[in-house]
Amino acid sequence: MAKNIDPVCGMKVSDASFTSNYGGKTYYFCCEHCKQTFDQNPIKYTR
Amino acid sequence: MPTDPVCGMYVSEDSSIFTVVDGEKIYFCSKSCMQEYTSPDEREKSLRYRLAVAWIFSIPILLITYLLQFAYRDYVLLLLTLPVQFYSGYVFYQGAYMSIKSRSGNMDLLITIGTLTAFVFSLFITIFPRAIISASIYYDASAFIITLILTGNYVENSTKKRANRSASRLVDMIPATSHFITDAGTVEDRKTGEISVGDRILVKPGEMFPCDGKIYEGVTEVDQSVLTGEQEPVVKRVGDPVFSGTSNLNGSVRMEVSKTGRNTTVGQIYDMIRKAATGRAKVQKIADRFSAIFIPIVLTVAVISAIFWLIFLSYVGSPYSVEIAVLSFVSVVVIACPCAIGLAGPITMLISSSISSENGIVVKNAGSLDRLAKATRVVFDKTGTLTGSVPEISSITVSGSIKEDDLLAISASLEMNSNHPVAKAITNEAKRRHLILHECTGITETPGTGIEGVVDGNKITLTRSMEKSGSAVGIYVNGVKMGSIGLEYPLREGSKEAIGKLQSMGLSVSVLSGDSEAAVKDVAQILGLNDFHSGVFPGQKADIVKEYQQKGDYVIFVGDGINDTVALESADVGIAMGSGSDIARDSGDLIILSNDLNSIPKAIVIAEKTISKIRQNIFWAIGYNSALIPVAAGILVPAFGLGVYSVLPMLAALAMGFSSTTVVTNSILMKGRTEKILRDIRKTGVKMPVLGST
Repeated sequence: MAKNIDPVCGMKVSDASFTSNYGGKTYYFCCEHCKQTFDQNPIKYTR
Repeated sequence: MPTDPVCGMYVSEDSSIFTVVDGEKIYFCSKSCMQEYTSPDEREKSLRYRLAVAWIFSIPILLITYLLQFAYRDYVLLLLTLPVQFYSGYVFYQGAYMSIKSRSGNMDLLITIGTLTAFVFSLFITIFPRAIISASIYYDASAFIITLILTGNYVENSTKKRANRSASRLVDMIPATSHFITDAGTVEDRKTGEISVGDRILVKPGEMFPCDGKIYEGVTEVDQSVLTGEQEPVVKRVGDPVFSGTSNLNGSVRMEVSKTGRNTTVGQIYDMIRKAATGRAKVQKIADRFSAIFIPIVLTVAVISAIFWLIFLSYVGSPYSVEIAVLSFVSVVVIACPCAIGLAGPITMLISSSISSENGIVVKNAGSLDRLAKATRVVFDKTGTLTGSVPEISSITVSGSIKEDDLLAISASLEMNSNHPVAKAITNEAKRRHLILHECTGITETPGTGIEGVVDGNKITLTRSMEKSGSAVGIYVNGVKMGSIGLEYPLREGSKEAIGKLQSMGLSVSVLSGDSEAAVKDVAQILGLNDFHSGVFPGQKADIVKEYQQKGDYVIFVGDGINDTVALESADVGIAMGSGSDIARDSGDLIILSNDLNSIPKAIVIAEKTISKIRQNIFWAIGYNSALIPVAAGILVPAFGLGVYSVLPMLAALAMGFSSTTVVTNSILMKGRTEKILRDIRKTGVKMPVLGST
């Protein structure tokens, strides 16, 4: 799997353990904390 | 994947080279990078020795190569090159090894490949002089590339050190000894490092506070400018907090220590400055992406260039085909070293955080600088942010026969047991009127409602409520209302001026508060704001921030209280007031230590300048590397002949050092220019720059 960037902390993520869908796109996270932070306010991290 | 804070390289989390700072693991690509981070002085000393050796041997190498001819000359040059290649150049091999191990190229890898190619080729010619017809040795190239790049590293190191000095200056100011007060009440001098939380110390006039704590005896004026940038001394009395690094001006005070060492305000600011310099703004990702693809491209171009010259020169019958192929390979590899790209972000961030701290602004999250520079709207919490956090009594209404002072005295007797800001206002007013307070028993405080207890056998109940004009406290004695106290929050000094500056910068400004509409409207009118929200619950503050974001605004939220935490986190940039709660400070991306709202336009200017400077640096570094690769690959050969290759490898090293120095100098220039704008912000009536204009 290609490496994705966690939009919250900027780390490279190589697995799909923590993901969220927003605006038709899947975002990958390094941990539950980053996913929760993203889910609270996705717009902050997607523009 | 974490990045090395020194060279910016990606490092695997499996790496055994790491250090732990405040419970956080910091990974490094090599032991030399770790040494530079943990003990920069030793690293500088080692670099100085390596540089001295490099210059001492490189100059004779150059002179012999170009001026002298004698028997065994090549062997003498080999001996002179060995210390430069393997002692001075050792630092690059360490980085190159780690680069191969983590499969992510770095500048050390390119320097190693370039210089070893020139060295091994020369060694081969030295041992087998007739193996390649007309071939020369290039010990001068390999030695000078190492020497010049090491010189560039040394200059860069010294510059970084200078930029870091303002952060270290904070810590250096802390006095080495403190006047410890023993249980017997005597005073003895002890090392500040031996002072613990709970100890009592004496701080004399003219001395600096060595730790954070609270005054329990004495009154003095304190110069807190080092933390807040505010030059006006602050009066500190019993119960007031004092901070390490601030100056005790004119009174002898005794304090109880609450924080020592790294946990003190100064210690934390120092850590934040250091961490901010290792933080990454979003714009730096351009550099990361570029570096990741750049090194494989460079090696490919170098190989293609070498093969081209080998085939072409062999085809035309030139005796220099192998030699030129090697030299073009070395030149391309050296000229493309992306060290300036690696420097572009960190050095600017370091200088930016130094400017911020000098202005009483702590940037906790470097990633927020991109968003701060794009801000279109500032949303202020009202109480504690636009206004002070402690209200003032605006009116006292008495019902029945009780006197105003008696009503205030019984209220204060109860409120002195509470930490609520309203309680503080009432007890302050009672103290101001020199009223005698009574003992109070059976106290029960209900958050959001009020407090009750028994004073002189009477059950006293104080209810805190929102009235049309602001906060009010109803006073009941044995269930009968005896009067009420009206409270209002005075506007924070400089708030109107700060909002005017933000508006002149093209930003929209809003205010929101849990207070009544009348109270919020009053404040909004005084400040010239049309957009305000009243009666807002804590959770709704974040919803309002999100609504603005959905409309396309980049939102800065400025708050101070626990109830602002969610909004601080939801906003594109959360700015917490230094006087605010610990939780608010933890949630904010930035902290305004001075509590001066004028720091907000300053922070925006600093962010804008920082991002623009990082962009300039990245553009310069990428443009430079890309533009010179064709030169190294031989584009100038038709004009100047193959002779250019006798100097190109060294010129490549020189140009590379120049590129790094330019990036560093460009970042340093930011300090002077930004400080000039910040000085203009301090002056009233000066037109602010509209964001994006420069």
